[in-house]
Amino acid sequence: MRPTPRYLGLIVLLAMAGFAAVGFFTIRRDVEDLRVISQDNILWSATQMEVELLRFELSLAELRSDLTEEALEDVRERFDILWSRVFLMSRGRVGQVMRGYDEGFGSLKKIATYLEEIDPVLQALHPEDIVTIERMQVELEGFQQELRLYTLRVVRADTVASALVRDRIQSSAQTTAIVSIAAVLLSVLSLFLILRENRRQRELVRLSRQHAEEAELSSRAKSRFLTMMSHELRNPLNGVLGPLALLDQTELGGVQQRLVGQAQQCGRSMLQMLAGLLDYAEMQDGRLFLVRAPFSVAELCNSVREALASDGAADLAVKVLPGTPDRLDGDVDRICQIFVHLTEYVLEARPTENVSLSFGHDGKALVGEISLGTGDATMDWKLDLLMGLSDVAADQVSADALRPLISRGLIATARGMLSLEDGPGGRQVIRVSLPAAPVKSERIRIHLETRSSALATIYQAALRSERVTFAEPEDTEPVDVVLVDTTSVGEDPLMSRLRERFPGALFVSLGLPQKPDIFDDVVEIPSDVNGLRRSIFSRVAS
Amino acid sequence: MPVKPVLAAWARRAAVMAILAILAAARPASADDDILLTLSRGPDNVETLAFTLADLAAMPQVTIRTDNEWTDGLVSYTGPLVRDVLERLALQDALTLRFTAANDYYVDIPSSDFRRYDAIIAIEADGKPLSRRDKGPLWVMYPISEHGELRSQEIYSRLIWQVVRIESL
Repeated sequence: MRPTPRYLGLIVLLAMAGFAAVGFFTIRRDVEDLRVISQDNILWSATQMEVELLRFELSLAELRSDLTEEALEDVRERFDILWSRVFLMSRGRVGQVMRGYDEGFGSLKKIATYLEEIDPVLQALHPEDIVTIERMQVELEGFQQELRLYTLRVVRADTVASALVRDRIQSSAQTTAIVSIAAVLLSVLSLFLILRENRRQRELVRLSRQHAEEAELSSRAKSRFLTMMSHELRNPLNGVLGPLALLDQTELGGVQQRLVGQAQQCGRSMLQMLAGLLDYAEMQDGRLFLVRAPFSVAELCNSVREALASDGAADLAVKVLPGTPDRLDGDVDRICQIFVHLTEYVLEARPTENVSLSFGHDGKALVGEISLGTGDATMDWKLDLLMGLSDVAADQVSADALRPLISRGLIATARGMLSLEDGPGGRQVIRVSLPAAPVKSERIRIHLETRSSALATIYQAALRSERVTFAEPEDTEPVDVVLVDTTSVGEDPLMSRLRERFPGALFVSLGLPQKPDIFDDVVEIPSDVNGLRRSIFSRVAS
Repeated sequence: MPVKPVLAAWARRAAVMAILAILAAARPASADDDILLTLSRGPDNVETLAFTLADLAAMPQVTIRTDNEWTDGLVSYTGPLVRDVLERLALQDALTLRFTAANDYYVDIPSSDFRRYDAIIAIEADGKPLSRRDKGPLWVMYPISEHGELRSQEIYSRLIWQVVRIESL
C-alpha cells in the first residue's frame, strides 16, 4: 500500500475552497444583477411620461371647457411636469438608458422637440383661444402612440434582461450543484485517503511494537546469557587465581615468579572484564540499581587509589580538593567503579605521569576530574570513544568500548554528566559530575558496658572509625550510644544506673537480653559487626 | 471659518429672496401660489403647517455636493435640512413619513434616515433655484457622494422631486 502524499490533503482543501469561492461569487453577482434590473427606474420613467402626457391632455380639455385663467395655470403646471419627465433623457445614467431604448426610433426626441415648439405658444396662450387648444389636443394624440410604443420597448427589453438574468441564475444554480457534488466527492475521497492513511499508520505502529518487543526479548536473552556466563567463568577463574596466589608464596625462581606474576595480572584483568560484562548485562536488562548511603570522600579516594595500584598504576596522583565535604550521599562502590574504569581506560592512551585524578564538590554533585597531559595524538580516538563521539553499534562492541560503555551507563544511571573540556596548560579534562548531597558528619561517642576486656577490645577494634570514638570507663561526658553486654549480671539495677548516668543515650543490647523492653535496640548476634554498625548508625541518624 | 463662502452664501440667499420678491410682486397675490410644501400630522392629518419658498429659504441652509442618477457629475444642492423642516411640526419622531410629489407620486421614508444623514430639501442646484421643469421647486436630496452605502436603488427612489406634501403615517 503506497503512502498518501502529505500535500494531497492541502490540494484537496484548496480545490474545495476554490470551488466554494467560485460558486459564492457567481451567485452573488447574479443576485445583484437581478436586484438592479428589478429596481431600475426606466420602466417607471417611461410609464410616468405616458401618465403625465395624459394629465396634460386632460388639463387642456378642462381649459377648453372652463376657459379660465386658473385652468390655464393648471395647464402650464402640467406642461412643466411633463417637461420634467420628458427631459429626464437629457442627463444622468437614467437619461442615458432612456436614450438607449429610443435609439433608432426617435420617439423621445420628437416629443421633446414638440414641447419646445409649444412652450412659447403656451406662455402666450389666452384662455379663450379654443382653436390653439384644440390644435394642441389633436397634435398630442399622435404622441400617445409614440410613448406607448416606447414603453412597450422598455417592457420588452426589461423582459429580455430579466430572462437573461434568470438564465444566468439557472446556470449559477447548476454550477453550484456541480460544485457541491464535486465538494462531496472530494470530501469522500479525502475521508477515504485519511482512513487509508490511518490504517497504514496503525499497521506501522503494530509492526514497530512487534519489532520492539522482539528486540527487547532478544536483548534480555543476550543479557541473561552474559550474566550467566560471567558467573560461570568467574568461578573457574577464581580457581586459577587462588592456586596462582599460593604458588606465588612458594619459593620460585626469578623466571617462574615473573611468569606467575604475569598470569596473575592477566587473571585479574579477565576477572575485571567479567565483572564489567556482568554490569553491562545488568544495565542492558534494566536491573542495575544504585544503593545510596553516606560515604567518606577520603575513603573513596583511597579505594580508587588502591584499585588503580593493584592494576599497576600506583604512581597515579589521586587527591581530594580542599573544601570538599567529608561525607556525601551516594553509591560509593559504583562511583569508585566509574573512576577506576575511566582512569584505567585513559591510562591506555597516556603515561601515568601525565594523568591525575581529583575529587571535589560543586554544592550539588561530586565532581571528579581526570586531567590528561599531552600524549600520543593517535590515541585520541579513545577519548572520542569514551565520550560517545564515535559511532559504535550495539553489535560491534569491542573490548576497547566496554569500559566507556560501562562508565557512561553507570553515570547515566546515577543521573550524572560526563564531559571532555580543555584545561589549563593545554591539558584535557574528563569531567564527571555525579549528584551527591553532602551528609552532615556527626561523631558518635560510645560507652561500652562489659566485664570482658577481650570483648571490649574486639568491639572497639571493629567499630572504631572516623565517626566513632569510645568513652573511657570512668568518663562522665555524655555519650550517644551505650552498648550493654547482656552477659553482665543484674540487668535491672545496671540499666537504672546507666540511664541515670547517660540520659538521652541510645541503649543497645549486645545479645538477646532477659528483658528486651528495657533496651532501645537489640542486636541478637553481636558477632555480626556490620549489622551492629548499621544498627547504631541508623538509630543515631533517626 | 472662511469668509468668502459665507458672504457668497448670504449673497446667493439675498439674490434668491430678491428674485422671489420680484416674482411675488409680478404675479397676482395668492396664498395658494406661494405655498410649496405642506406638513401634516395627527389623526386624519388635522395638524398642518405650510411653507412658502421664502419660509424654506429663511431656514438654516445646508449645501451638499453629490451626484445622482438623473444628473451629470457632481452638483451642489442647497436647502434646509429635512429634519429641521420636520421639527417645525414635531414630525421628527414619527416612525415613517410619506413624501408626496406634485404628480401624486409618493414614497415612504423612515425618519431615521434624516437623523443619520444630512438630507436636505433642495431649493437650489449649483446656485440656481430649482424650477418645476428641472425637478423643482423642492427636491429631497441625500449626500450620496459622502456615504457609499447610499448608492442603492432604494435610496435613489427616495430622491423625490417636485415634493409638495410631507405627512406622518
